[in-house]
Formats: sequence, structure tokens, C-alpha cells
Amino acid sequence: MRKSLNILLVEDDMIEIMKFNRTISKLECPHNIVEAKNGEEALDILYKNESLPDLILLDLNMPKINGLEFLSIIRKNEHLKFIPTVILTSSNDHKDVSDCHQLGIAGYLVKPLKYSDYSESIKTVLDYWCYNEFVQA
Amino acid sequence: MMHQKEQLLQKLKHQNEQLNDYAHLVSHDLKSSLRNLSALLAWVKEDCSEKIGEESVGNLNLMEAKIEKMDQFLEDIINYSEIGATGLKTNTIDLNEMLNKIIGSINIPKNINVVVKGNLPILKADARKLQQVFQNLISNAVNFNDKEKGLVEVGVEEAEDFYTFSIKDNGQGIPKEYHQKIFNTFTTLGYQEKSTGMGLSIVKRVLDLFGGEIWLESEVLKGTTFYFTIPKK
Repeated sequence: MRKSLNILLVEDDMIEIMKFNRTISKLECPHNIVEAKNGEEALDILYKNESLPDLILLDLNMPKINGLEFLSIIRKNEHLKFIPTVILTSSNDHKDVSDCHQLGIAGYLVKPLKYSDYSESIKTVLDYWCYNEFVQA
Repeated sequence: MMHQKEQLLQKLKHQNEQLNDYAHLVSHDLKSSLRNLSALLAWVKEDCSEKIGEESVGNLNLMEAKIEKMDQFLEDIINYSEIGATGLKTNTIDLNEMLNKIIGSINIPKNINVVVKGNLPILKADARKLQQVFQNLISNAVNFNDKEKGLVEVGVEEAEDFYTFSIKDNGQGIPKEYHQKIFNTFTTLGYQEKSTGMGLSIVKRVLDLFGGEIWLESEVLKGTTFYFTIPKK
């Protein structure tokens, strides 16, 4: 069954957030988006709220706690380690890709240059997760 | 005296690493900004095409093309700086497979045929880097080809200690005076709007690391053959 998702978007760049929201607003499926501007803010949100997101979309290059640090923290946390996390970044750096996979991710998306391509790949990712069962609700 | 040399070498090595890191970092940051610009531009086009008129849409399209080129530039700089930054890996590579993959990934126009002559060897080298070599040489041969029926041939000859690979095209050829210069960074012969002038310098840099050589034979208007060697060690 297709369902709408609770998504935590961890992204510091205002225009990237606009890109994401514009893409989402044109989808049929209404997803619930929570935004965090960096890893620290994202952890705050995860620690404070009882209900966890179904999916985390994570930028790597951010101030304070960056994407990789954030990822390694939640992977070590009993309560949070199950949340599927998809990396959304402009870096296809070999080391980043391999570090992320080692920590455990549910996908690694390199942002395409063109907005239309970006939009398409976000749609595809969310479409896939719409049909998934999650550990908790 | 020996000590001084050692120190100097250390210092140079350190500076080199810093330069690599720097190129890497700056390129990534600029790439992110380009993604922003590209999206904003697409939205203006999407939202206001009718209001701003044909000429302005044309200008926006030119901006879009420039952004694309700049992105390619940054990608090439990242690739170039990565070559020296990471050590060489040793993978066992079936070149037949690798070439199939590369040819599949290049955008080849219908009028151009890319063929692999004979059976290619299985060898040990850094797969990612060797792929860059073939990828750049083959896409150059395809992209710069001006013939009605373009032909690109990949071949190999085996010697005792090394392989000599060849990438032969029937394109426009390269005048003798440029045979050295084309391997320098940012040098293009201006045949194509899209070229960044980094491709062959990436190729050269990888082959230097491998301990191989590269040279070319060319006849203007008739075509070019690039040769390079990979030692078997």
C-alpha cells in the first residue's frame, strides 16, 4: 500500500530546501516534511520527538555537525539506528561514498545539475519509500 | 645536505597535498552553488517565459549552457586533483568488459562507430584511473569527429614488458605543432564549445603515475591515432 511519508530533511542551504519543497509540492502524495538546518538541529528534533521520521534525507556538507558525523551518531543509537537515511549531496567523492556505505545508508544521491533531473530523482526515491514497511510508526 | 633535501621534499609533498585538498574543496563548493543557480534559472524560465519574451529566454538559455560548461570544468578539476591525492589501487581488470561499459556510457551519435579490434587483455592496474584514460581518449575521438561516417578503433599490441594500446579515429586530425601542447592543462584546440581542455591532461597524469607513455600520430583532415603504454610490471 502506498502511504505518505514523514521525512526529516537535513539541509543547510536555503535554495536546496526551496528545490526540495517545490518538487514535493507538485507530487500527488502529500508527505510531511520536517526541516533541520544541520546535524545538531536534526539530532535535537530526533531526541525530542516521540515519533520518528520514516526517512531521513541528509546533506553531507553542513556547519556544526556535518552529515557524516550525524550519520555515525544515529547509527550508534539503539533508538535511531533503524531509520533509513538517503544521502543527498553534490559530492561524488569516492571517500564520501564509501564512508557513508560503511556507516550504513539506504541510498546515495548525487544532486544532478539540472533542476528537472533533480526533481525526477527525488520523485523516484520517495516513490520507492512510499511502498515500504518501517520499523516503527 | 641530505637532511635539507629531505626536508624540502617533505615540504613539497605537504604543499602538494594542500593544493589538492584546496582544489577539491573549492570545486565542490562551487558545484553546490552552480546547482542553486541552475535551479533558480529553471524556475524563472518555467514561471515567466511568456512575460519576459523570446530574447530574454534566449539569454537565459545561454546562461544555462555556461553553467553546464562551468560544472563540467569543476568536475574535471576534481578528477584531475583526485589523481594525485589517492594512492594507486591494484584491481584485476578485464579490459573487454571495461571497454563495453565505457562505450555504453558515452553518448555516441548514430553516424559514428566505435569498434574494439581483437581480444583485449586482462591486466592488473587501478581500475578507476585506467577507465579515465580510455574514457577520455574515446570520447575525444567521438566528440571531435567531423566525418559523415565516423570510425573509432581501439586496439592493442603486446610486448614482453608492456601493452601498447591505440585509439584511432578518422576525424579532423591534429597539426604537428600541437602534439605536445594538447597534454597541458586547460589547452583546447577550440573545435568544440563544450571542451574544457582537461581531458588529455588527466590522461597524461594517470599514465605518468602508471609509468606508461603516450604519443600520437596524426594527419590533418584524415585522423589521429593516440598510442599509450601500460607496463605489465
